[in-house]
Amino acid sequence: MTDWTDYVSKNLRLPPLQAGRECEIVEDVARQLEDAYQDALATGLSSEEAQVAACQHITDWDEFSRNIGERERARMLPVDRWAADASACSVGNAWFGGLRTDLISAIRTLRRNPAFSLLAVSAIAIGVAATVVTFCVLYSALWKAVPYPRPQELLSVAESNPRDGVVAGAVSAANFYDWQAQNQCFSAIAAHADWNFNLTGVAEPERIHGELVSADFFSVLEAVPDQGRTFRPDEEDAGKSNVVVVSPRFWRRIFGADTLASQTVTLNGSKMAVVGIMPTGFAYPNKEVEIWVPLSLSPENRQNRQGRWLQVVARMKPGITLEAVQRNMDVISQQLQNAYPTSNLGWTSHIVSLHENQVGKLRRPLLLLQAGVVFLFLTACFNIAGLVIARATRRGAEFSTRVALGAGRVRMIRPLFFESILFAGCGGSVGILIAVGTIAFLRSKLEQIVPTLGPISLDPVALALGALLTLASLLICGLVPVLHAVRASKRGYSHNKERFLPVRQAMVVGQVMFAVTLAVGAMACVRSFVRLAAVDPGFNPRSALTVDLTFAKAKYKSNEQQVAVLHDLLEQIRSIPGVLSAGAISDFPLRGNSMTFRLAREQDRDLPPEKLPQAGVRWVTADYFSSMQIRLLQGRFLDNHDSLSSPTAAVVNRSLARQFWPSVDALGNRIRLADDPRWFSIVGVVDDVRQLSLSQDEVPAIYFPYAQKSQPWLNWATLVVRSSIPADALIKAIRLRIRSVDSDQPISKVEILEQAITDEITVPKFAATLSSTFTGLAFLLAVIGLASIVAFAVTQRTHEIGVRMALGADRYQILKLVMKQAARSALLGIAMGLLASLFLLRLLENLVYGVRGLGPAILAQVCVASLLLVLMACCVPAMRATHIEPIAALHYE
Amino acid sequence: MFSNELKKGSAELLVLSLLEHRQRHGYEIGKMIEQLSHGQIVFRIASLYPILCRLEDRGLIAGRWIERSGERRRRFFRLTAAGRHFLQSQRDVWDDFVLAVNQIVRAPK
Repeated sequence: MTDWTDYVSKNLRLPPLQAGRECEIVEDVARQLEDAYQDALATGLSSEEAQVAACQHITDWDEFSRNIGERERARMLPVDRWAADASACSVGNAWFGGLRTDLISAIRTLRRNPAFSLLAVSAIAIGVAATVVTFCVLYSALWKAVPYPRPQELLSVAESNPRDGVVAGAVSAANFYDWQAQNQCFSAIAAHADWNFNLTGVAEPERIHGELVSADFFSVLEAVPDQGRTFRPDEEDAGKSNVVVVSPRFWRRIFGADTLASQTVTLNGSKMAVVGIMPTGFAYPNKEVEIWVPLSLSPENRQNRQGRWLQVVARMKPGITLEAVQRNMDVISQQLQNAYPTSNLGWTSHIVSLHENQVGKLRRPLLLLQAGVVFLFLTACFNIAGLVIARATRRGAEFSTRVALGAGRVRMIRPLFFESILFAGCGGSVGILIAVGTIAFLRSKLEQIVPTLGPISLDPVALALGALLTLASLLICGLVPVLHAVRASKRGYSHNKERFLPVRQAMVVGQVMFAVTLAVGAMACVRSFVRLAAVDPGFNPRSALTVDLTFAKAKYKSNEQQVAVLHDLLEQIRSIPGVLSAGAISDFPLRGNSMTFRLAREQDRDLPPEKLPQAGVRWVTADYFSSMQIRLLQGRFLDNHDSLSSPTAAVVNRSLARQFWPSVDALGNRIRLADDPRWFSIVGVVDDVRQLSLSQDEVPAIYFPYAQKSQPWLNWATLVVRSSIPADALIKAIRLRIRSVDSDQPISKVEILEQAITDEITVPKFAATLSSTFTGLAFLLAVIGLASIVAFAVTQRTHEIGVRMALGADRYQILKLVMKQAARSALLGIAMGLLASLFLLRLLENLVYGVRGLGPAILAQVCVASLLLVLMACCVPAMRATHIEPIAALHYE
Repeated sequence: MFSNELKKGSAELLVLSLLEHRQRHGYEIGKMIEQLSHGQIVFRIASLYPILCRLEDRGLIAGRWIERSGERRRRFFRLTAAGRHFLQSQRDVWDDFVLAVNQIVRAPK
């Protein structure tokens, strides 16, 4: 009788298929031929005749093979086709064929465990993405902070006076020109100062952020214009300085053109010729600056040593050290102190690299963030390594069998390594893609939070870092299990129970510690954010908006003119239907500003000016307090009756009342500005507002009537308009009314007050969200780590558990047995985490608002939460152990 | 005996019809076709096997190995839900086709 399986095997010629598939086809076809043979026999044919009849069913084996083969190959996945080809070619090239087979086997293993694969790939992806994104921010903020040639030569030069507590303050013009003339260490030195301009003569007058710069400014930075030129030395002289260099953004916005011709712009009422356009990306001293105008000082102003208002940037001569520069400048400062003791006594020069000046404050928080992210990434990698090991350990019996059948050590380890390559490769690629997406979507948000000079972008350096991280994850996830496997192969797989556990326990201790520390940090950030969001600013931000105005000095020279135009503007705005009230102030809250002056009470008459107490001074119009809805504590608000011709009056805030008149009523007392002989009677006390920022307490402050001001330099005001109409319509109406009073009057800033408050808490909110997300991830990783240790313990001790249960051990004892190791690691991790948190809290107390004093409460909460999480992580897999049937357990292995 | 073209056109319908009420193995399907058509339609294994594979690929039938006592294991096919649906629609198409052809072929002269 024919062996039909053998017959089909010999005739059927199939291309490489998945292992086992060819045998199935052969068996299927053979069974049918055999059925045909049996049928033929049943009809009375002889064995030979029946065999011939059966064989008639398939006469053209080539055609049949091609038919089946093509269809089978077409329905295979590419990876399976690859694997099949690999095993087919492994006959010829065993090593490479084996390599491919192992890779395929790794792919299949991962496909069989989609949850595990997804977990591992996403852990690496998130780790890589978070690290790359934070690195991009860090790189833009720290390394690309000074995007000029030979940045190491650029210095920021400032004046310090330790006696007055001034560190790295502004520089007086006379001192700057003396430094310029006398120094031997700078190849160039330049001064600059923020200066805003009213741009008129255009469809919509604008307030432009500008910079007054000395002639050497561009040569210090070695910045070359894209078109035109920068300033000539003689353009610093009064009368020749009607030239301006502009940013490309300004150029396009105002002229809508690309090339420079002989255009002029009207700035603060003067016609200025545009002589150059800087390249895109030139943003010194900050990104807001759109025009650079020569610092053209009168001879008197050049000799002024008292007014310190200039920033100085310099380029050292090549080969000179920072210490040599400091020594040279110290000598000059000493000479100036000797020559001009009145203005210069105690003043020294303070020199730091421009880079340090730009990024000094950012460095610590950013590096802290980066370190945290890298740690998280490493934790993820080690955790995956742990999981790979746990799985490899479960496959111990399979490995033992393979070794017994003669598999070499390399062949044993290679599939494990390939699994890690796949995790790392997929995770790394996905991570880089996520990073690209995050940077693209969050660029503007990130740039708002981290003030960088250059744009935040995904550089080749960041991409290289992504590749490096992928490699690192490959090494950790690949080498740790491989090393473990190598050790295991020496000892025998089935006896490799406890060997690697200490390492994994150490990893879990580290993870728990990191998660606890992060949780404390996140808790501090969240508490800080919640506190900040709940802060009462002292005014009602709802349904109000602010408009900043600066009056052109040429047009509104005198106090009377400024007061009159502001009065007219406010009257116009109040007449807009829907406007409930409108007022103005010189120094609006939440802008980080509080003009401070020396004040004299009546009892201070005999004090010299420098001994007089200082306080915040603000000039307000009638209706300011009611527009802001600031609470009146005593007396009355300032109103329209407080004009230039009426008795001088002032309102103080609660802090000033308490500080200046601690034991008596402030009302009725008189006070004056040190440089103004007029006495002002206190007619009211108002509540404090958050002047500098939401996180800073109010300073003692006094409010004078704008109408009674005697300071013509005060040519600006912030209008506050409370209304019942939508903001867009209101802004449009305000613009029209302002133009009806003065068509050349620009508006420099319009802000919805509620938005300003929201902006104030953007950074704390971001910090709270970010740290909470990281904490969630860290705890997730720690919980996975712990659970895997317990699960590992349960798997390893199944037999022992069975014996113990058979001998009468109860569930509690079993739980204790399997949870012991994990619980010990977790408790050690929590303890170490809490210890590390003590240092973190001390650091955060200075960095984050409102955390001081919260330490013990935060530590206690985190401790309880961590214990609960740890208990949960251990209990779930441990409960499995209590459900083990003793009989089944005794049969285990 | 019918020509190969005629057989090809109706092969899928025949296989699906035979699997409508019970599962059958490959050779059995071929044998049933031959018996029920009184030997007029015969499919060799060489032509029936690829048809079964094709129908399985399209999800109209599903095959699985079944071992009956005293017999070697065989691959049995059953109709899937999609196959049942397809069979119904193909039957209607076939009826319409036959009717249309008859209206021409048997039309009174």
